[in-house]
Amino acid sequence: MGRKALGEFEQAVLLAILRLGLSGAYGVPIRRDLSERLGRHVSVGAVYTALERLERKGFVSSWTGGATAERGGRAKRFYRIEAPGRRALDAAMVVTRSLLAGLPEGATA
Amino acid sequence: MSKPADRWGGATLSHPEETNIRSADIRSAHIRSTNIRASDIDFLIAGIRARIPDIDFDTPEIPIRTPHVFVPNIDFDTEPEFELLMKNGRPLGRARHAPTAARRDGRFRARQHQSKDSETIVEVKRHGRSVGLPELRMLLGLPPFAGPIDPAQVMIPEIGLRILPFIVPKKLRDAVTGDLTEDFRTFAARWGRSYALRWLWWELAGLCIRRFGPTAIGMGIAAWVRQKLGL
Repeated sequence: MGRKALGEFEQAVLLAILRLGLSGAYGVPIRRDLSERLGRHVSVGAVYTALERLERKGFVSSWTGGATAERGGRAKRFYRIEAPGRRALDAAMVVTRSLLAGLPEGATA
Repeated sequence: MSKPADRWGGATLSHPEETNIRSADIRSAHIRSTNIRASDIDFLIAGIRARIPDIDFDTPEIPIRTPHVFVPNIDFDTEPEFELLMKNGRPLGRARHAPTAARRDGRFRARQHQSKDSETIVEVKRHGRSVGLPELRMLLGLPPFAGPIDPAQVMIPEIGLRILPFIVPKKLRDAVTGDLTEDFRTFAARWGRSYALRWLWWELAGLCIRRFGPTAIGMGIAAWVRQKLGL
């Protein structure tokens, strides 16, 4: 697997960012979305570690939003998926589909 | 207005001058930091007005509890015309601790300090019957007073905020702190403060392990134990 390949959790994070869109993709909703869809507790540390790694790879970019009272005056950091991130996600989907292809019907049930 | 029991709260009054502030000189106040319920703000304002009649208040915002540190205080009741000299943002001279009885009576106390923009800040606090050590309780994230708490005003424990700079990179510090605060409030409102606290400590432990690694933390604890035992 190449250095810029996506791990399972990274894929989930990228998909969560896509789902939430530009105005909603910051730490809290990303973590909640992942917890709901993965069906397990996802920690804040895990989310930010993945996001930092994705940002280092150039798959996502981030910017700081405004501070709000319900966050104790702390700003949100919003995330957006970039073109290399989309390409990596597409490649991961292709790999998943090719791995699933040819399996006998009901094998994954 | 009836006097509420078991409340502990404060407000921040600001004054543009730097030294020799008298209570009579204070003309404006901004409710910046409180840890009382919204319904008690009127009581707090009325209490300050009784001592500083001409004072103007900004429109009170949603009260946000911020950490308070008790330093030498002035009792408005015993020193209505208080005078306090300031040097390098520290109070000098006539600062004194209010007697415990005054705290229990729910009197106002004040302290001064200097903000970043050279504005003298006078913090006024009204103490209800305190439960144990309010400062320690706040540091540990426990309610500073007995009685019901509005979950919307629950704040992340101060000690958590103090730990975060050591375990979160500077770039992400604001975002992580904000996220923890937002989730902490949500959980406290939904499932209670004790659940929110357990969740918070779990998250902080996770962040700590991610930052330093379990081996490094284990070695640090082992070194500390060895040092304590003199091995």
